[in-house]
Amino acid sequence: MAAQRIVKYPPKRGQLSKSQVERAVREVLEARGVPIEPKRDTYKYHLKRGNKVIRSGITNDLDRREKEHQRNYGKDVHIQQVGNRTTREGAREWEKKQRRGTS
Amino acid sequence: MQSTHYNDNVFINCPFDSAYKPLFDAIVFAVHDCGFVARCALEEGDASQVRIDKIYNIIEDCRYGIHDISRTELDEVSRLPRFNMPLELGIFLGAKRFGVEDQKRKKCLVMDKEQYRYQKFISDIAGQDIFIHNNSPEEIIRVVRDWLGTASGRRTIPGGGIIWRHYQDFLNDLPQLAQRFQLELADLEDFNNYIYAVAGWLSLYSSSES
Repeated sequence: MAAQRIVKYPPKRGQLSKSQVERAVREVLEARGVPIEPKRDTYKYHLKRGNKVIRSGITNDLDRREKEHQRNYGKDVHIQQVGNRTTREGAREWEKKQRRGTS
Repeated sequence: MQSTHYNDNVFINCPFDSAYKPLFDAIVFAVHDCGFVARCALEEGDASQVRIDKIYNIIEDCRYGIHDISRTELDEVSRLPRFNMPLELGIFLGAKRFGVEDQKRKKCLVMDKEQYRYQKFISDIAGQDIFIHNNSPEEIIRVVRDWLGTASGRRTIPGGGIIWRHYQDFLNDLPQLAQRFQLELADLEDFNNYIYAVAGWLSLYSSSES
């Protein structure tokens, strides 16, 4: 059950960046023999106006992404999540297939 | 402007002295392990902003508040009591009472070190549930975890014993993390660095448990 939650980062204010922290943590945990699975933290989505799909994309924050799209496409668009959260790599593959129109 | 993460933000109102630090660090860790984001006055480095304005902004951003009123005793030097924690608790309760929309959905946890002690110095909050931590980091993690679980209704929050075990592992890893960040341990204790280290460690560590 605990595996379903996503640990959230606060807004960046200190000296450390997210990538710097994750690289260091990975090294420390791996040195300790802790196995690290790729994170399933990426959403796949369709951006829709009414029932019509305008485009597809991936994000780790659906609310933020929807607001960004609404700035570009207008307030009448919305995001619909597709499937479950997946790894960044898995989501990128899905996105490529969507662009090629093969899925 | 209200944060987009209002429902995840937890305002921490507690002492920032070295004696309280083990409890403070444990609260911050528990908040993040429960899937929320810890916010407090220490995060703002903008010296041009008036402190009370920073506190107003952070409280506005947070749906949840954790208030520890256990350190209201007289200061050893000035012989005066410390009023900051009760003041910030009052601001939080005022925002909930008089605020609009999301502000009315605020929820808060009030903690003290002994049962019923608060009735002698802040009796107006009698009737609220006050939780006791006995100055124990393990106990405070359990209190924070149980309250966040109940207040948010989220079902993805690990048990208090599991969070305590995570915290022990994190503390063991902390010196090596500081080394890799090329920081002194004291620099890593800066609030903004500390919560980044906590979030990064938890995000990878919890994936190893899936």
